[in-house]
Amino acid sequence: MPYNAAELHGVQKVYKDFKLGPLDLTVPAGTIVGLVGENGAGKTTTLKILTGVNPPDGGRAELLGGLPKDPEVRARLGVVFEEAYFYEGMNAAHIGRSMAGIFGARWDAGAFSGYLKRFGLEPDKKIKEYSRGMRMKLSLATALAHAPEMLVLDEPTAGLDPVVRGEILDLFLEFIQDEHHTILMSSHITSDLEQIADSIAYLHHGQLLFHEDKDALMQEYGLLRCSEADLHRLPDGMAVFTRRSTFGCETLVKGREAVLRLLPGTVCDPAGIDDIMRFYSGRDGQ
Amino acid sequence: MRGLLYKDWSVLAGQYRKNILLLLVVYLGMAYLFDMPFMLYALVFMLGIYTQSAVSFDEKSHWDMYAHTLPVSPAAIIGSKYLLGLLAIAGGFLIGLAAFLFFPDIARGTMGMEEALVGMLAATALALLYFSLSLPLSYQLGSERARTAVMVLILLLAVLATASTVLLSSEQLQDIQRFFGFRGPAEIWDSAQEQTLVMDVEYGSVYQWARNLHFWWLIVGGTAGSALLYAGSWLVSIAIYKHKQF
Repeated sequence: MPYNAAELHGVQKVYKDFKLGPLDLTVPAGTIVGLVGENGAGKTTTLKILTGVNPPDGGRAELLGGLPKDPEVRARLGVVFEEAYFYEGMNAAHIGRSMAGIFGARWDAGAFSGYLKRFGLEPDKKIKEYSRGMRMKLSLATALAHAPEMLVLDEPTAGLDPVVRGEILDLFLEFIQDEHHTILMSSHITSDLEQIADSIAYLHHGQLLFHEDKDALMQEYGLLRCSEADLHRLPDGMAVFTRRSTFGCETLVKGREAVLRLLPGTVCDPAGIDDIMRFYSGRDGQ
Repeated sequence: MRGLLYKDWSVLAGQYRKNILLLLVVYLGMAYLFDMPFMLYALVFMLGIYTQSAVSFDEKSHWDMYAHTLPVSPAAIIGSKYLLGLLAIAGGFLIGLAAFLFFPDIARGTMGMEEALVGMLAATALALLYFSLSLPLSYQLGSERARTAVMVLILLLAVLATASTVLLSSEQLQDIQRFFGFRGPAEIWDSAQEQTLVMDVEYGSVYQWARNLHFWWLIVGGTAGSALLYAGSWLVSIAIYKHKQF
């Protein structure tokens, strides 16, 4: 029976210059959910609440059937935050021994050393001597070696070259082979999410604009290029936002198939996640 | 807790192994070559200071945010720092005490182990007091600002101590000093002349102080009080840490 690995119900977090929510979000078990949004949209804030780093000011968060601050729940969770990790003067061997003490019997030293070998990471080399990609691989090895049921990842592929990104995405696909495994990851690299995510949640100015199945989303949204006159023939609510130029109009539309039926002869390509974000952000910027 | 302690130990050992060895050589060398027992007392404090750096390294790597995603409680995260501090102070105490066994003044008989023990206990009490203040302040203000805040606090405590001596009359001060054995009795019975003699003798040696049981109350009580303060400080740090946002 399908169940949710994580749920946010009416979650709110208020800072001096930013407010997140109220936010409702569910992460179905066995899926990869991509969390997208502009810088400062609230992605990291959301992940921090979900992983128990910070408590919400309102609403409630549930993780793996319990509360995020419960150590029993955290023992089944693997987390990678972009900046937060062990001190860079340590090496992988130190980290392995430290995590063995923290996770106890759950920590699989053999699996950790296997990941290090697979990623070509030397156990005795200090973290500060690693490249950005190697650091990310080490963070992932650390997050995976206690056999977590869920991975929460904040920008895991940011700043990495395509080869390393490919390796990391392969690892995620491998992890998700187990139907009880779940991944929630935020990313600015939407092409990565288009490759691996099952659904996309879009945060915009602290609000969840949508959380939809990725394939349905790609089919639903289209990028329409037409004249102003054609645009006026569209029913209300179909056009999300239009950018006008001397060459005509470029419009993000919902219901691409319907638009093509209504305006035969116009060009309406499927919109990517980047396009959707760009146009939503343009609409709200007006 | 074991994993957390190991993390701090490996960071500090990695960063300061050479510094700590150099510190031991310099402090022991100065104590032995220049007859400076103070350097052995200071060792207790200096080794403790290194553990304070563990908080700075955590800040640099945003460790506390990461630690909040691991199956460890705030009490364990904070507890590992306090335990590390305690281990460092205990290590400094034992090294210092062992060094006193071969100290030239002890060998010559011009200084007793009793005096060394008193000095080491006083240094331990001071180190515990320092960390009792600095650790909660580090979690509240950050380790950089906490250092300044602790210095200001210690200065305030010194001013308060000085002010209290000004507020007391010289008789009251002498009574207190007599009570703890820093001053001889106000009067003694002279059996030869069969009359009471008025005395005003200030004792300057630990041998003389140590003959008064109240002096030991002060030393043992001070050390035990610092240890209690240290435990209280741990609870305060946990409360601060639980409300910290990352």
